[in-house]
Amino acid sequence: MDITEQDAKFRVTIDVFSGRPNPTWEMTSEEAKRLLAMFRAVSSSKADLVSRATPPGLGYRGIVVTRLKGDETVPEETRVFNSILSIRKAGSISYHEDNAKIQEFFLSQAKAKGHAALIEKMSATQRPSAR
Amino acid sequence: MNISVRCLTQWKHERSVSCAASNQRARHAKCNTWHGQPTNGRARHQILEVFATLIAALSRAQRSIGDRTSPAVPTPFAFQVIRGKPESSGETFMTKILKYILIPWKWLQWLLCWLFYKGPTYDPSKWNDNGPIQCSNNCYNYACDIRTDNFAQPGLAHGAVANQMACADVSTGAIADGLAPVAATDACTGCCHRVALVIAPNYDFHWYRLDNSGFWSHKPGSTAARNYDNSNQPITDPRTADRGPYTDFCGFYCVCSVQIKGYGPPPYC
Repeated sequence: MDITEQDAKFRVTIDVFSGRPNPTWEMTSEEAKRLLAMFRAVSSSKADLVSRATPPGLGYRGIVVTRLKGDETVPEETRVFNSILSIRKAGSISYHEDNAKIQEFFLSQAKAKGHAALIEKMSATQRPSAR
Repeated sequence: MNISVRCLTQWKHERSVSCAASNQRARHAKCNTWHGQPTNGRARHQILEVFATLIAALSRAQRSIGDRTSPAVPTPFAFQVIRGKPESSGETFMTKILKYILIPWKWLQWLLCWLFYKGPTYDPSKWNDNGPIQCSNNCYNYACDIRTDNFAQPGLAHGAVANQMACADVSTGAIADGLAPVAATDACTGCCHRVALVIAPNYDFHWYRLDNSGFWSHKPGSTAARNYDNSNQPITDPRTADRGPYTDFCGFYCVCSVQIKGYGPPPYC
């Protein structure tokens, strides 16, 4: 095990709200180790994924994982949306298919914390209604 | 003689006559106090002189307009202001300032806004720093055009924060903050601009604002401010825009003089 895995610490944010602050939590060290293992399995980047990786303004915009602690080999910020990973590392962003099932990993965490209905409801794209 | 000097001279004359007529104690109380506190008479006159010059300049402008449009010019407003009423009328120095200078100045501001202010300018660079400003200011900050850097919540500044994410609750909070509900057909006059509230039932609120371009813009949470909807279309009316899960349209409001605050910047900012 290298020093990165020992020290890495992450915050997870469900990027969903506009007015209220987003739900957020910190990953345990075990979860952080699993995530680092998944990062290593991520396929190479593809530029044509940009449009699929761009979330809408209102509603569910994906899950954002922010590095709180760890060296530069660990991504600073990763957004998982629409099964696409947008990874910001050393200031530049790359786009990857989520072949490592990172989205599933975070959605199961969000469900365990009681946010399943929130994600489902806020992912809806219903027609607007005026009152 | 310059009108401001003439007005001031006459005002000083009347004031000195009035003061001389009263006894020494009364003169001290009436002529040498500022907001109830003793003050230097010269300093007070200097302040008044500045006000007199300002008002006289306005009056000159008013007169020059009047000269061109109508030969019959009424007594200049500044003259009436500076001359005022005798001390015996019971008006204090501060009520004079309020009545003749500050309140008319507010009216002037209102008039200028009414004539020229058409809402905030769409300037996303003010908010989109891709850093702490963007992250810690939400849709309510953006709609009110007030940066608090703490994710403002409707009603929090006045103890009326919403318990439920429903139109009535959030609207009550916003009204407590100073926003004024307005009908869709009514305009926001004066130094005010129009905003709109929508709700994702039970989950969240969202605000749009009308810019002087005639289009609406918004800032979804910690993301960048923008002037298009979820379908990437310009927003001509928030009632018909693609709002994603924010399905309840609550109404329009005027933002004039508001006070807003939040609990603090979100932990992820």
